[in-house]
Amino acid sequence: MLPEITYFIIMLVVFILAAMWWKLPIGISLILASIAGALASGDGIPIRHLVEGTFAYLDPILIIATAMIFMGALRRSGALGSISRLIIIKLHKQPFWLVIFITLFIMFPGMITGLSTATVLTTGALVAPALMMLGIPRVTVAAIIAMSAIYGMIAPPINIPAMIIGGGVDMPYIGFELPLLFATLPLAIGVNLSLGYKYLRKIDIENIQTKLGEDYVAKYGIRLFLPLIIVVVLMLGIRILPQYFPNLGVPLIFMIGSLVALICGEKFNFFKISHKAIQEALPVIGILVGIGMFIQIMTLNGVRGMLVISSLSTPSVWRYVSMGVMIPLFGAVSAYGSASVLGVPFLLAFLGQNEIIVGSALSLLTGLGDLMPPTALAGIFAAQVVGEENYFKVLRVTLIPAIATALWALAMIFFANQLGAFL
Amino acid sequence: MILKIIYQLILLFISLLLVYDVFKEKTRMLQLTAALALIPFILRLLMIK
Amino acid sequence: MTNLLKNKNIFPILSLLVAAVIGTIAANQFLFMRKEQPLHPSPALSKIEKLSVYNPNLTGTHGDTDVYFFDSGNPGGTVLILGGTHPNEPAGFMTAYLFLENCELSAGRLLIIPRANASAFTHNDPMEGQPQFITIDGKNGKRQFRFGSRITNPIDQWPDPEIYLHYPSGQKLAGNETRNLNRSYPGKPNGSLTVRVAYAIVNLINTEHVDVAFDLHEAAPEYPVVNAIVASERSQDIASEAAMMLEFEGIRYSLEPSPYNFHGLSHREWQDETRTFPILLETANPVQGRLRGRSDEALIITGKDKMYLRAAALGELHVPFDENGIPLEMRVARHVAAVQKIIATFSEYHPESAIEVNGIPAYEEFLENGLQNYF
Ligand SMILES: [Zn+2]
Repeated sequence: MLPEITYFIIMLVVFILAAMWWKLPIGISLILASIAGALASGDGIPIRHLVEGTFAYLDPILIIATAMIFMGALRRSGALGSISRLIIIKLHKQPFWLVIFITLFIMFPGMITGLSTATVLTTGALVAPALMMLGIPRVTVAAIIAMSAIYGMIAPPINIPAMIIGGGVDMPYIGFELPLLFATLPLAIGVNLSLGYKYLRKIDIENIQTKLGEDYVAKYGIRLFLPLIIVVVLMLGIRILPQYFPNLGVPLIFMIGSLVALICGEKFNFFKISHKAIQEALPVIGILVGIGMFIQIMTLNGVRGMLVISSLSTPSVWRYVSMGVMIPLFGAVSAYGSASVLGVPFLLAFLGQNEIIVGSALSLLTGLGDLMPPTALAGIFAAQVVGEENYFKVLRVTLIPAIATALWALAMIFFANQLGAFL
Repeated sequence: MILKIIYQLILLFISLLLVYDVFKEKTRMLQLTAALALIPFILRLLMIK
Repeated sequence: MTNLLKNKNIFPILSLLVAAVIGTIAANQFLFMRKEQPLHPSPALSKIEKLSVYNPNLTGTHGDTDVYFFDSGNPGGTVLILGGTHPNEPAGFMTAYLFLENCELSAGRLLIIPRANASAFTHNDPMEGQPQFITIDGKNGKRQFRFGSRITNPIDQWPDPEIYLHYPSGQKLAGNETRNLNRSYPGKPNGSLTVRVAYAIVNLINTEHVDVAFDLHEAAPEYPVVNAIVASERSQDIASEAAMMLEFEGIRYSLEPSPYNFHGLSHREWQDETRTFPILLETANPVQGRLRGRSDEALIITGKDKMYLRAAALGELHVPFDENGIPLEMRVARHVAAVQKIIATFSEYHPESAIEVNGIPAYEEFLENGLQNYF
């Protein structure tokens, strides 16, 4: 037996003991597991490696922190509730189009930023109250948001996992639009119709109207939505007219939006909502810090290579099973990590097939990683957005859509050349 | 260049929130989480890593 | 103060102290990478210039680096060798160091930029678990060489955009590629540090009338373009002749054309922006690969890896790989042989611009004496 298997088991056992037995936060458990892994392979406590690993997700942490602040600001300014009001009043008579609209609406930030968490925390949070008021159970609402966010992240024009996978084999990010649309849109609409449509056919609008909160639009007018508009314009601008728009980056755009919200609606204390946002995000920040360390140590002591080579070692048909399982599973440490660590070798293993189709499908599989505990970024934040404490309940609802997504992706890889002929 | 300074200000803001949060979290382990999460923030803020 | 030292604050303060201690220890190790180890140029050196001469906007930045000029004093052409475009590809920069410390010149000029992306030498990539240094037990004792990152230090260029739009083509790549020197050509005088470095190099090639320009790399063994000479349209003929000659000597190189539709690569943009003959060389280096096992200094030096052995058995690799691994010495030897052969072929085709570099061992001789004999 390879010693790497022992290291891996030690890391897993320490993690499980810490997280389940001692009930430590996942972040701390990952740190302990990393230290155990380094000790096991005779590397002592390699402070430099441990700290270096924490930098892996510094930029995503900034995005999450600022997105949380932005959401807090929108909620306090009254914009959040008012959007729900509008959606319900305008669209409750056409449930089919309601689902389609909601799907595309949630996906939108993901499509232009390539970030699932930013999607869940923006448009996801905006529609959540409306969907719940319309009678969809809240775990189902969270599932709809989580799945749409993942499809949004994978949908064109911006798909960061596909860029990472393509970058690994020096394939430019060109010609991915149609394959990525094919990979996401049918699934997104199908999944959301199957999850939500049945609740929307019998809407008791009289009853709902009494529950709608205060109409801040009447009080502040369109100004109420100014933060949101600014954020959308800045994000879209850099994509559509890069020569005229400064590349501010998502965290700064969210900070600008949050500051603008201060003067566009109900008054609130900026420091307080910011602290609350950080407090809510802390478990996830801890996970991202810990996971970076965890992978750094896994790479140092050879466990990562052992996992990659084991996933590649499976013959023909089993290779598909291994892809469908390992890529989302590794996505537990983040979709991007999975794209780089497993997506690239699998694309290389399928060289000769239509690479753009295979790359698109692999990116869809990495997207599922955002549903995989312990990180499950899309699942955790979707649960948070609807006020559900136990995100595993959300994950249970996403299970069948996730399996359907994986099968769709694998089918795309299997028929890559045929699909390539007309996409 | 200006962008880098703005991002350092954002880092500074979030670092301050994290320090504040170390004292405000209810459980010790979350206090420790916030403290450890500060490490990359501070090292980047000081432009060391 | 008394307020702060209330009972409930003791644990938080302790936590912050623990974080401060860990952070300080790590900071010291990170900062140590900023220190440049000295190189010892051969007596043929005529001058050292700063790269910022070719782009003043680099002055005082971590992107500025030394350009070593070796002038034979005799007429002939000019060769440029770039090492350290990717400081996590040691055969690339070690080959440049080897020329720098051992070359003698009898015709033409040799220019060497051993640390093309100087900023990328000052840090390591998170989650790669790689060492900070490699140690060579050379003829004058142990020498440490930094092993860096593929991309510019975020300290010098941060934040990354979500999407990297290549200038001027508008090609889209993942955001962190904005710090990849070999995606930044032809560059521009101002802009990100990496783009400024790229511009300086292109400007140097033009200003110094460089005839042949080498960009030395390594790639993962599972990567399709490996053990390869990548040549643009202009350098096709020379490269294919050289590859054939190397093949006669038992050194196998595949010849890869520079892709038309992939922008920012050195050979692609040097072809279009300068009149030089661009050549990029790749060897196979397990420490960069995603299939590698334990990522330590030994892996870099010996190139032995049991995970790659399994990958070879699976048929996933594009190079032969056995239990002897692909040692750094072998990888440098290949680069050295290819550089020499290409210079010789160029000189034969263009006798008026011939360059003659001596003092550099031939392939067999180098492997016999060992890498440590030249440092
Ligand atoms: Zn390279």
